[in-house]
Amino acid sequence: MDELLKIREEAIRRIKEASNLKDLNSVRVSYLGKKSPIQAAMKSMKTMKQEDRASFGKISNQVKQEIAKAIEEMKANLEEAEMNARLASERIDITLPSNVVPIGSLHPISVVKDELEELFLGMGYEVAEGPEVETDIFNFQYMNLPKGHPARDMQDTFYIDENTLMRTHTSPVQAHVMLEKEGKGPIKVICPGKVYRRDDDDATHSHQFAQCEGLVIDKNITMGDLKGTLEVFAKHMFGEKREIRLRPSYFPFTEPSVEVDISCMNCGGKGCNICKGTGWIEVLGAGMVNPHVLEMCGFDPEVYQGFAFGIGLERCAMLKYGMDNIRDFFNNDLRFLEQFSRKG
Amino acid sequence: MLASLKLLNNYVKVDDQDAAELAEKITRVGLEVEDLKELAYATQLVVGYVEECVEHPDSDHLHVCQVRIGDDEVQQVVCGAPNVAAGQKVMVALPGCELRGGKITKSKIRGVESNGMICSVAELGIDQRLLRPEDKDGIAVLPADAPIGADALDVLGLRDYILDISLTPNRSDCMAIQSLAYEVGAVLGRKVTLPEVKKYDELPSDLTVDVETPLCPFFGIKLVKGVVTKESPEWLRNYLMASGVKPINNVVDISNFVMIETGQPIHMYDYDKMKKKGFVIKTGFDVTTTLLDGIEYQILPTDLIVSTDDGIGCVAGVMGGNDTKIDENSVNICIEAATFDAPTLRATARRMNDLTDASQHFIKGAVDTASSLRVLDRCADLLVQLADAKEVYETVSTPLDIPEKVVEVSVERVNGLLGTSLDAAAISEVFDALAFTYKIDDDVFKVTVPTYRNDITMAADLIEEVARVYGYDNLPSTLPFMEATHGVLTEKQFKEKVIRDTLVDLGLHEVLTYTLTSEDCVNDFNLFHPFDHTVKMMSPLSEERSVVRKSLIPSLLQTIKYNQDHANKDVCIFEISNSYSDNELSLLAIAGTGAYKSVPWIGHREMVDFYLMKGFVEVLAKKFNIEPNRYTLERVEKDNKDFHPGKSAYIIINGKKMGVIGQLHPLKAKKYGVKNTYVAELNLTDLLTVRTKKLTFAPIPQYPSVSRDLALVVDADVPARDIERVISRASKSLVKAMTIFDVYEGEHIEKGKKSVAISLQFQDLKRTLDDKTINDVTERILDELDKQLHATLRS
Repeated sequence: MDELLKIREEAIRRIKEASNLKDLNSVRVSYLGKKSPIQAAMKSMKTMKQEDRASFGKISNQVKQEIAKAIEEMKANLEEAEMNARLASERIDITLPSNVVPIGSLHPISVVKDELEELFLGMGYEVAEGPEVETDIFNFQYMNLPKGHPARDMQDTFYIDENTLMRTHTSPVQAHVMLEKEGKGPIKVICPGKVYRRDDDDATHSHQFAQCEGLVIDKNITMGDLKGTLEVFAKHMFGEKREIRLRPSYFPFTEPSVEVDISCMNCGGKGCNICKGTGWIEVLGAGMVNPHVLEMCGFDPEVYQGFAFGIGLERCAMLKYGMDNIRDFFNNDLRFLEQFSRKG
Repeated sequence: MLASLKLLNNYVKVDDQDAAELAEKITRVGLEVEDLKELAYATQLVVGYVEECVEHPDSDHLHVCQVRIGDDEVQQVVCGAPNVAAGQKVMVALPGCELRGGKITKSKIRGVESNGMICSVAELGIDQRLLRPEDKDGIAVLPADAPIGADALDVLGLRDYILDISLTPNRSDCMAIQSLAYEVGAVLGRKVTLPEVKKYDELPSDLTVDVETPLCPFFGIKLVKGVVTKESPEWLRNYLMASGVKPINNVVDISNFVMIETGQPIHMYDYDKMKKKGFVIKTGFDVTTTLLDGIEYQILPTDLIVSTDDGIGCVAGVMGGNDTKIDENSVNICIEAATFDAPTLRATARRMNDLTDASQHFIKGAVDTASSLRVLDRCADLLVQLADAKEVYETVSTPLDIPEKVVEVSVERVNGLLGTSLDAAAISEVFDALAFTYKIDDDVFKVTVPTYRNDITMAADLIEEVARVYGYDNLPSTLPFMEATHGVLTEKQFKEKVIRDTLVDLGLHEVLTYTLTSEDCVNDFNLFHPFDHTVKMMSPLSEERSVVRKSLIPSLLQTIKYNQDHANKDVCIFEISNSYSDNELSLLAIAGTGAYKSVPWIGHREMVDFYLMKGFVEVLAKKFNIEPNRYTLERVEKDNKDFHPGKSAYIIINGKKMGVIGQLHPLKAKKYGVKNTYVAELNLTDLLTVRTKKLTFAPIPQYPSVSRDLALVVDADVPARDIERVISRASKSLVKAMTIFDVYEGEHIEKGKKSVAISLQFQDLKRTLDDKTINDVTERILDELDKQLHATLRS
């Protein structure tokens, strides 16, 4: 009996001494295998008395189970230690640079255009397009700028021949849309696109730029609706705190016509160098569609009325992102483009 | 235009207004004041009396003056002007005085103390071009009665503000200060008074007027005799300077002043230089002639001419002739006030490169024809007052027949367009403020439009008047209340957006380049447009931007070059844009060079190559459900000069060239200054209208798939696509996918042959495949490969 307890003690000690799974396994073989000292001790059972034999058998089983349990526990410990050692050896320098996965970017003009499209699509506007190589009739005459009109001087034009030109504004798309509708409203469209002026390129001028026209025509559209719509635009594009201000102006295709200022996003209206101290920044032109334009484009001005506006996309982007050179848009320097890979 | 506030004050009271506030108010009614400045600028500039003036002990040109500036105050001032002398009244800038050139301080000049500066007119910040020589050559000598210590700018009449107003083309009438006065009157709610014109006992005139063309709706001429030419009085010179006009002499100054006041350009002829006393207005001259500037001009038959003595008396509205021009000796003067056809004048003035102030007035429509006769009387009156004219003759003119213009607008219409709820009284207030006359009949206004307001022709114009005077700030802010419309992108717009988003997700940068390009580039890479049809600008700004592009690739190459010159070596970009010849095509171009992906610290760089470009294109095809069997790649021509003949291919769909993928031809790479650059260009107009199957769900396979690898040996020039096609056809649709995982030529492979290793994935949607079926299909595949491509299994 003492012998069994001694064996158990020795086994537990050897289990604890095992420093790896291999050693542990040999401990298991020597104590639980066929040649184990327990097995040998069991042989002496034959010579025991009946009542001693029973208790001896019970204890020897107990010893075996205890040893087996100790081995299992030790095995789990050793396995965990080995795994930890492996993990430790697999350590990498997490500060080394990442694989260079390319991140693309939309051009900022597309970003602004997408923002406008999303806003206006949500308000039920469609997006219309028109040709960039346009006729004099659509670009000027349907826009109430007959030949010889002094306001034609406001837009120096690239002519291709006497009747064809590079469109100077997106307004002719209004005429295309109206004529397609054959005098039946309502119309609710925006028309983004490229336009061209015979201007030398410098920091603030570009012979090519992008506009987004807006046109809403129905029976009861008012100038108040124009004001409200532009307020939504200003807040969406430049922030909730923006306010707008309408100033009378002149465009041949609208009457009344207004220039629209927004409160300066830089100083909030107090006056700074960006708004030239006025607190306001001019962002777009707008007005109520001139009855002559409605009529020429097949709409009865006694029945229908509406508003139109024209937004300069480069100007929007420059104000929004604090840019001061329009040429940056067309140079497409990657160091410029990469900045627009972020969203929002 | 420049408007003097002091002059404006003669027509409507503004001298009690803060200039900046007034400028803001004027801007808010639509006359944008771009700049507000003072005619002359000086603080603490006082009148002084030079009591003593001696030579500076240490200078041959400086003087030391004792200047009295007050009852008890005499200051010593050193002055370098040659004309300074004792006994003069002068302008003294005391220490602390600010001038445009800087601040005056006490100083010592060559050892002598100087407590200020005696000034010339030229030092007051007035536009130098407007000044007389004597204003610049020496100090200003003030009238002897100028009170000592008084403000010198007041004494000189130079205390004035100038509004620089940017007029919109419809309001050219405001080039006349009178017309501007009505606007200011409306803003301030004040009455406008026009100057009284004295009528003289007029003598019958012997002049005749004969208009032979419809291009001159009105021509009036008035003879004044006994004029004496001299310098204009100070107030007139100051008004002219404040309006940006250089004073010359009283006669010329009067004609300019009348134009500033009324908008009507005045021309004057020397009566005594005319042999025949008649004016004929006509076209049809084809001569060269010397005009009053002494330069010879070619006159064309289309030019409108005021003919005197059968010659060129005046190129109407543009410039007078040399023969009848007035000079300082002219005594008897014919004054012309007329209305000429604007487009005709514009063409003539442009050609003669002479857009003078006067011609601008005609061209922009500043002239109020209805007031022409009054303008002639005003001119004659001023010549009597300021140029001692003795005799005034009756005006000779064509009939002045301007019908009254009445425009109607209802209260309902005003509110319907503006969204307001104004009543008739509120609208009346606006029209009253603008000094319009009107009748109200059942809430309909019948407005008699003033003759100078040529911009008002319809109801909408009157509504604008209401809106701008009532104030846009007071309009309600609403959103359209209308039938619901649905805002969706068209299919083309949606697909273009998908392309942009997809390529950006693949790591490409979208660029925006110019539509206009040079003729030298316009047919490079042109795949979709006719070569002989190019959209050309009639008058381009430069050769570089003279035609409309037909391919986007040149622009992208220029962008790559720009970036490489700016140390950006790895560039992958794309652009979607329209292109034009005899038709409009939407194009997508992609260009790349350098590394696409990399792991720098282990030296791994995945370079842009043909297969990457092909991958980009295939991703797009997949996005639009254009299955691989719908398109084929066809190698470009052997003698193609745009693309590398061995590494470039056209994309063919339904037998039509829809695009190209490839490396640049070395000659083009050289031309555009780029290296190792690959490009792709797709015709989106055609590609996005290719009919494709609707997306329908395919069940996920229930039964397992089995993989088999084949290593084949084929002739080196057999395209991989052919092997795939043969396998696909022979497999009776049991091969669901195949992947070429190795292509090898060289050692252990017969010359002229290549080894292609391909992994096949077998799958049956209805059952689990057994070995026998797979073996049978594989056998059949190998048979067909042997038969069609002489491909054998690699041993």
